[in-house]
Amino acid sequence: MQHPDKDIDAVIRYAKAKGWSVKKASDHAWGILKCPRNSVDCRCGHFCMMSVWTTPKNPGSFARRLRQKIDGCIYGNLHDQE
Amino acid sequence: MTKTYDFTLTFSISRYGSNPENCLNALYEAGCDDAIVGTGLPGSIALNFSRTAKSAENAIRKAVFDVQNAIPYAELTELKPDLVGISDMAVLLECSRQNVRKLATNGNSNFPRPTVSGSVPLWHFYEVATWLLKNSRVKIKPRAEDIEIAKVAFQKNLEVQRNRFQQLVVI
Repeated sequence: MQHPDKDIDAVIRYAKAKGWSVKKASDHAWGILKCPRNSVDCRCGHFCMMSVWTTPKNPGSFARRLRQKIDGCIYGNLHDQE
Repeated sequence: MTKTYDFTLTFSISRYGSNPENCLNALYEAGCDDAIVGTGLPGSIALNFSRTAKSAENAIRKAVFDVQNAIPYAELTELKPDLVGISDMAVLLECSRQNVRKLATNGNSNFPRPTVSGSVPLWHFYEVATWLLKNSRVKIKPRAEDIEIAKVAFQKNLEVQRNRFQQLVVI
């Protein structure tokens, strides 16, 4: 399953490499990215599942922020802990 | 002139009684195409916006309006960035955590005291940002848009907290 925007598609592949899965959604939501650990200990847990629009307003900004959230996962970046 | 503001709004949708994922299309159609919707917790949603507006106040007001247009029972519970830890500040200020920790723990400076002390201290970002701006010896400076957002978030979170308290007060 490929995202039509190349920047967003690259981030999705990056997420998958870190163990995230993609659940297919419908209509405006292309899919939902799911962290394998979905934990409330990690930045409140809301963004362990993130909607990815088929056509977000600004795909570049959207891709950058998705990547920021993925990198913010405390389990994916254990070396980065306090 | 318009600017782009990055912020996160959290809403309780427990009264809506449904899976947050069912709200996605309505959110998109209401104008939240500039938001990443976080649906990792049941009963609530968080939206990470990057919104173009004339002011932070306008950006937030319109974003809340859009969400409540899509989900009428959505109740605003938190605005971010407001209360931040060392790591959050490092991201916002685009510097290392070591840089921030050095500033925050230097007893000789008048860096704002944490609002919440303990093993994970938290500061109001607006207080820290104001201090950084005033302190000419510190090279780390916050983005103007983030200061504006942090100010509105601080104010509105106080309103949310006041309402929470008042709901507990028996009349």
